[in-house]
Parts: sequence; C-alpha cells; structure tokens
Amino acid sequence: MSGVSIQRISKSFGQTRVLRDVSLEVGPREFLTLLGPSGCGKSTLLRIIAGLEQADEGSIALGGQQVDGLLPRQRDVAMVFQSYALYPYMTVAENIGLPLLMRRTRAWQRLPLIRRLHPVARAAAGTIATDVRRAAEALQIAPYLERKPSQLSGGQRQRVALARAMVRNPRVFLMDEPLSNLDAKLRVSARAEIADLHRRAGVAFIYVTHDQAEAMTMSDRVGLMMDGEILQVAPPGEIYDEPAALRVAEFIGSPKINTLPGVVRADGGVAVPGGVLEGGSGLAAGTEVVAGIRPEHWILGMSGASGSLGALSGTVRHLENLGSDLFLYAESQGGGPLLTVRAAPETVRQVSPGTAVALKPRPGRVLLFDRSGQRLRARP
Amino acid sequence: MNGARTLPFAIFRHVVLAAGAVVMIAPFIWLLSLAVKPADEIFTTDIRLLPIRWDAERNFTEAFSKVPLHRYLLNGVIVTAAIFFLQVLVALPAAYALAKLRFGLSRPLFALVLLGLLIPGHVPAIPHYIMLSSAGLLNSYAALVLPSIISVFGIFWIRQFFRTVPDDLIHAARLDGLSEFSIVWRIMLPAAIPALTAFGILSVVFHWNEYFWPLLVVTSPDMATPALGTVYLRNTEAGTDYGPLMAGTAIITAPLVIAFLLAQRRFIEGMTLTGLKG
Amino acid sequence: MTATTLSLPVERTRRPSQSRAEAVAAYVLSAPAIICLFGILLLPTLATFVLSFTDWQFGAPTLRWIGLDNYVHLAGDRVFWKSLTNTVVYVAVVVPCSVLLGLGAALLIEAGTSGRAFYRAAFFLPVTATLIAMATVWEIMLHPSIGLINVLIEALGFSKQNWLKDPELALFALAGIGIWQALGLNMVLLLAGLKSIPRDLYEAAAIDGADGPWTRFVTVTLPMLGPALSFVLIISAIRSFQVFDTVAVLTEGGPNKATEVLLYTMYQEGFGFFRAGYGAAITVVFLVFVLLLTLIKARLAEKRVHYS
Repeated sequence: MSGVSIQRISKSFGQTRVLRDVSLEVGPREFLTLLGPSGCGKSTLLRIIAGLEQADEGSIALGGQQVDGLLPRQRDVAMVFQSYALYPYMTVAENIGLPLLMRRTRAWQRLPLIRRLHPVARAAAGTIATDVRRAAEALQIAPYLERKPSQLSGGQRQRVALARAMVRNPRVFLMDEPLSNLDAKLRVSARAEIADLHRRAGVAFIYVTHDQAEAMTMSDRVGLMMDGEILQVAPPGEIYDEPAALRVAEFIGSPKINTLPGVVRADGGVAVPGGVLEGGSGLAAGTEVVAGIRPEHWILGMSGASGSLGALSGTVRHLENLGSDLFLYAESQGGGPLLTVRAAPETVRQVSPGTAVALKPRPGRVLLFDRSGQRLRARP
Repeated sequence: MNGARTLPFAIFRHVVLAAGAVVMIAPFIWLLSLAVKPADEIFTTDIRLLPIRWDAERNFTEAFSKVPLHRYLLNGVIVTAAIFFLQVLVALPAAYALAKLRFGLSRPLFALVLLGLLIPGHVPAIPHYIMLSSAGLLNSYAALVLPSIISVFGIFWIRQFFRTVPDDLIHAARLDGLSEFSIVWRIMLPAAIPALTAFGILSVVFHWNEYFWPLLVVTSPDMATPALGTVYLRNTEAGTDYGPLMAGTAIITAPLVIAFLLAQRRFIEGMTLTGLKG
Repeated sequence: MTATTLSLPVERTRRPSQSRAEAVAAYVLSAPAIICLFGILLLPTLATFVLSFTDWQFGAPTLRWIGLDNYVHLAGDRVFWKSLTNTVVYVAVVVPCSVLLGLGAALLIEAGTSGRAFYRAAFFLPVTATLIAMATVWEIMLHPSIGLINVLIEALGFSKQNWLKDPELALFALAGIGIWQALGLNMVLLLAGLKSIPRDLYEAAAIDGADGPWTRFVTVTLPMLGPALSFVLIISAIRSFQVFDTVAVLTEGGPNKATEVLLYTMYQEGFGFFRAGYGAAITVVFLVFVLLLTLIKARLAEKRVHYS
C-alpha cells in the first residue's frame, strides 16, 4: 500500500502559476520534507493534498485511494499548522477531542441536552476522553487539559496541535512549518519529538519547511521545491552531496556554496578566473560550466605560491570565528565574489586579513553544472 | 504633557468638567428627585433635591396602576431579544460566507450589503406598514420585530470581524471533520462573541429606545414598547401630577442606565459602532 | 492494493469537491440574508420611490400614476419648506455645538488622569438613556413657571421663557436637548481619536519647541485629529438630520410649524393624513439628504479612518 501519490499537479492563482506539473511518491511510512524558500508552492501543495485547495490539474491518491473529489474531512488526513490553529475558546481537551467527536457521533447526538442523555453519545464521550488523555500523556500536556490555549506557552500550544493531529490515527500527517513560531532552543527539542511521533505513528508524514536544518535532521527524503517545481527528491545526505541542479546546491548548505564560471580544457581541467581546477574529465573540451565548491571542501594552503595545479591563490579579506568553525572570506586573484572557506578554528593563529592563501578543492569535490544550471556528471 | 500637570490647570480641568457633568446628569437627578416628591413640592419654585415629605410609594404605585408598566418592560425585553436573536441568525452565516467562502456572487452580494448601509431605517417604513397591514399583522410582536431582522450593519460588522479570524482555524476545522454549518455555529460563533456583544448592545439600546416605528404599528397598550409606553403614561397625565409620571419614566429609563453603569466599557464600545453605522 | 491502477478510471466520477461544497454552503448560508435584504430593505425602498409617483392613500382601492405631481406639489408646499428649513437649522445648531463641546470634554478628560472614568460616564449617560422618556423630564425642566431652568434663570436675574411654546425659542430648545444627547457619543469617538495619536509626536514637538498647550494643540493634536473630527461632524449631521422623537412628543411640530422637521412632516402626511404617496415623496427627499451626507462619510472612510 502506497502512502501518498501525487500525479502531475498544477495550480494557478489568477495569473501566477504556483505549481507546475508536480509529481511525487511518498512511501507508506516515510518522512518526506518539502523544503524551499517562501512562495515556492510547498504550502499550496500541502493544502491540495489535504483538500483545502483544489488543483487545476492532476490527481492525488492517499493509501491507494483516489481522493480528488473528496472533502478535507473525508480524506482522513491530519494537519498541523504554523499558527497551530487551536480553537481559542475551547479547552485543550476539547481541542484535541473535537476531531473524534465529529467522527464518532452524529450531528443530532451533539445537541446540548441529548449529548448528556443519549447512551451512544455518552459512550462516545467516554472513549473520547480516554483517547484524549492518552494523546495528551504521550506529549506531556496532560496537566493542561482543562486550560485554554491562551494560557499555554508556545511550545505547549504546539504539542496540543500535535496531539489533536495524532489522536485520530490519520493515514497521513501533514505539517506546515509547525516549528517556525518556536524559539531556537525549543525548535531543536521539538524536532526530536516529531521524529519520535513519526516512528510511533507508522504512517506517512509530509513536512513543509523553509529551514534546511529541520529538513536535514528529520527526513527520510527531502523534496526541494522552487518556483512551483520539485527540483530533486533525495535523502538528506544525497541532496547535499549530489545536488541535481545549481539552484539545489545553492539553496542547501550554509554558508552558501562557492560558484565559479569556467571552461573545460582538453586535459580535463576546468579553467576558472585565477586558476585551473580538477574535475572536468569526460566532458568535451570548451564546454562552458559553473564549478561549485562547498566551503568545507577547500584545502587551505598557506604558501600563497600560485601555479600548482588545481589551486587558486588569493588574499584573506575577512574572518568569522564561530568557535567551532572558522570561516575565511578570500579574494581570488582572478577576481569575482569573495570565496568562502571553512577551516579548523586553530587556523586563526596563522591567518589574518591580508594573508595570502592557496585554495585547492578536495579531490572529487568539485560539482560541475552547465550554464543553465543542470548538473554535469563529469566523473570518469 | 508636562504643561498640563500644573496645579492651576488641574483645578481648571476639574471645575470645567464637573460643571459639564452636572449639566449632563441634571435631568437624571431631577427625574429621581421629582419621582419621590409629592405634587405640592413639585409645583413650587424652590429648588431642593430631596423632598420634605417622601411620596415615592404613592408615585410608583400610581404609575403602575395608570398604565401596565411591567407589560411595557416585558414587551421591551421580548422585542429587543427577538430582534437581536433573529439579526444574528440571519447575519452570522451570511457574514461567514462573505468573509471566508469563495462563491460567484460574493462580490455582488457584498456590494448590496454596502448599498443597504446607505438606507436609513425610516425610508422603507411606508411599504413596511402597507405589507404588515395587508397581512393583518399590525399591533403584534411580528410587526415590531420583522422589519428589523435584517441588519446590514450587522452583516458588515461581523464580516469585518471574521476577516481577522485566521484561515487556518477554518482549515483545521474542516480537517477535523466539521461541515460548513458546524463551522459557523461551533467555531465562528464563539469566536465572534466580542463583536456580537458590541453589536448586541447597539441593537438592544436602539430598539429599546425606538419610538418612530412602534408609534406607527402599535395601537393598544399591551403591545407598547418602553419608549412608546412613556408616551402613553404621559398622555394619561393632564398636566398637574408629575410625580407618578416621573416615577414611571424612571422605571422605563432604569434598565439601560443601570446596564450602562455596570458595563460602561462594553456600552461605549457598542455605541461607538454607531459611528460606523451612521 | 494491487488493483489501484485498475480502479483509477472508475473513481474518477468526482464527488463534491471542496470548492463546490464551499460555494453550495455559501449560498445556503447567505440565503436568509439575501431574502431579507431584498424583501425587507431593497424592494421596500424601491417601493417608496414608486409610491412617490402615485396618489395612493392608505386603504384606497386604486392608485393613479401621477408622475412628478407629488414633487411639484412639494415645491409649492409652504409647510414642507418650513420643515426643510427647520431641519437644516436644527442640524446647523446641533452639529457644531455637540462636536465642539464633545471635543472640549475629550481634550480636558485626556489632559489629566484623575476622574477620567467618572467624567466619561457622566457625559456618555444621555447616549444610552431612552430619549423619549428623558424628553418628558426635559419638558418639566423647561416648564414655563416651575421648570428648573426657568427658576435658575430667574435667580440669575433674567426673565422666564416659555421655551417650548415660543415660536422663536422652541426649535432651539429642542436643539439643546439634541446637543445634550449627542455630545457624549462625539466625545468618546474623539477620545478614541486622541488616544491613537502617538505619544512621541508630542515629545518630538516639545523638542522642536512647541511645548505650550496651545501650540501643542495646533501643531500636533488638531492635524492628527483632523480626519476623526470631520468623520464625527458627518456622523452627528446624519444623526441629527433624523430628529423625530423630541418633536413628536414635546411640540408636535408647533407652535405654528416652528419645529416642523422632515421626518415629522413625513409622519404627518403619510400616517396622520394617510397620504402615502405624498409621504413617500417626502421620504425620498429625506433619503437624498442622508445619502449626500453618507457619501461624504464613505469618502472619509476610504481615507482609512477607523474607530473600533
């Protein structure tokens, strides 16, 4: 049984196309993160899966069932919102119990007096209370069941939202930036909690975020979205090491990847302003490329002696010492934007603004893209 | 505002405001004063606040025996409550649809609501009278209530309030299994309580005090609303015995004045909506 | 679920989707409002227009289309002109007085901290009180011989007046009651406006040398309060244009038409003399005036003036 199957979804709001022919398969127990800058269409895609928005074209299947014509409440999906969307005048228990109440009772059984007298309604109330308590205990919010959301801290509200989603065992969890309203410290512990929730729930999670740390730490796979398209879907390590496109490489990784325009030479080297890099073998001589080197993939030399194959020489302009890492910003002799280099913190004793350095990419770590931004597989 | 903190200014401020306040409250004080005085103390040019001989009991008993004051108050409660209840019943779902749902006639309908805001209540009075009269409904609760059950201002005001409710709350409700109707009564109604309180105060104060329309459709004392009732009471008075008249007037004015004094902030909030309503 | 791919075409028969369900719900939810809007407000308003072109009288079996005759008649009707003039005079007295006094009260209340709640309540009290009942109190206070006001005036050395029976005074006596009733509402609207003026503007003005009360008022308060002030002017104009209660109870348009106002004339013609068509024509004139004022208000509202 498949988890979520998204086929050729397109969506426009007026003149703007927010989703262009998006297809995606999510495994039945997979944690998939849609990562991308704001406005890339990831939230819209999530809302289309939930049934809150309607796709112009394409179709969605959940657990093997086509759901395109179904209302949100008929799809059996749970969603956690960025704002948590807790009902402000209901207690925590009522918030968590509402989805169960709507599923387990009929409208007439919820009428004020009948609710208390009718045996089915009373029995339902009992099982709901049990389930609510179990969910609350799992998320450690049981002491707050009788409070209103306004009396809770941000982290507690976020757990209530999670509890409301998990209490009815949906077949898919959708999460729309659920951590972005938390402070940095809470966000780290909440990441572990959501990963734990995923293990216990054993169903597909689709998680939307613009924060790559969240995407890299929790997901089985990351789908990188930009301008209404999914550029690449891959496990976190792969999307970092083997980006399918320059835009992917530039979005993932902090500080940003260094990019240098270059031309492939007959000997397999790549001529870039200020030097020649290795890594172009197998490509036709004269191919115009963009070479990408991540900041931690430079080998830093102190000599400043240029001419050695594969090295660029430059001058340190600026240093950022974070304690655990040292970032150097060096101006290449060939000009262009400053190159970012990650070095061991101890290096700080040897360099200062003005120091001449030689920069050489680690073997096999130069990523080549064609001028349109597509990845070139250059390895022999 | 340092300049304003000087002592002479503070004294000036209190003297002027206190004088103003006395003028504003004087009619209420005088009303109470006359309501407890015997006739001979009313017909004098001496100014005294408290009577020499208290005659409150006679005044109030006589007021109640002259006209069915309790009936006016009861009618006031029935009519204002029915109007407010029906106004909300009609306006709340429409306000939700206009604020949060996408449908083809959304814009034209809202344009009609704005058009309706331009029409003062007196304008359709003659056709209303004709319709109710031909339906044989004059001098009934229906006649007092029906013309007021649509409050375009209510629709407008609640819609504006609903626009501030985050869409995600409605999305969450849809995913939690609520139909659009359940969303209106379970999610939007409780969320709208502050807006409804303000609107309710405006509506109740307006219809409790309304004179024009009851004057047209009510023909017997048992259907009179409070405002009309004071006039009936006044008409029983040939112009000599003001005590009972003032006692009755005090009874009819009391509910709103007391409510205002108890919940000043809410009343001021509610009545300032008149600014938007016009 | 091996049959998934096979079952696709069958499940394509679409059940109601969110946007369809949303639209259907929207029409059902707004149906009562749409019916009431047309049935109670818009069509009857249209009917008033139509009636104003007929000679219909309440209870008459037939009606005749008489075109503009009612309006031609109005143009030559001395009572109507008197009524229109009186209404304009009433508005011209009540609006500036109630706004200026309301502004004064608001400024003085804001200028200090003590007694704020009391003064606000005292000035606001008449707004919620039943005007028709308080009018009776005013009548006794304005009584020619035993009225509180005459007694006080005489004590100050002036002569007593027959306020409500003197054609020269009656309209102004009613305007006085109108001011008393409207002042509090104007005050709280202006208080809201005053509160929304940022504190640091006063501090900036003080640094720039504008630190006297009058300079501060002219350089900061008045310009910042400008939109609110014009809004309040229009609102109180619309409200006082609809004056009816005090006239109907205290003077019945007299003495000698001295307090005849538009709504009262409409009431008299339409319901006193049962000339529905003629009453409708007066209503239309009334509506035109209120619409003019409301349109000005709408223009001001577009400039984003809010009070809630």
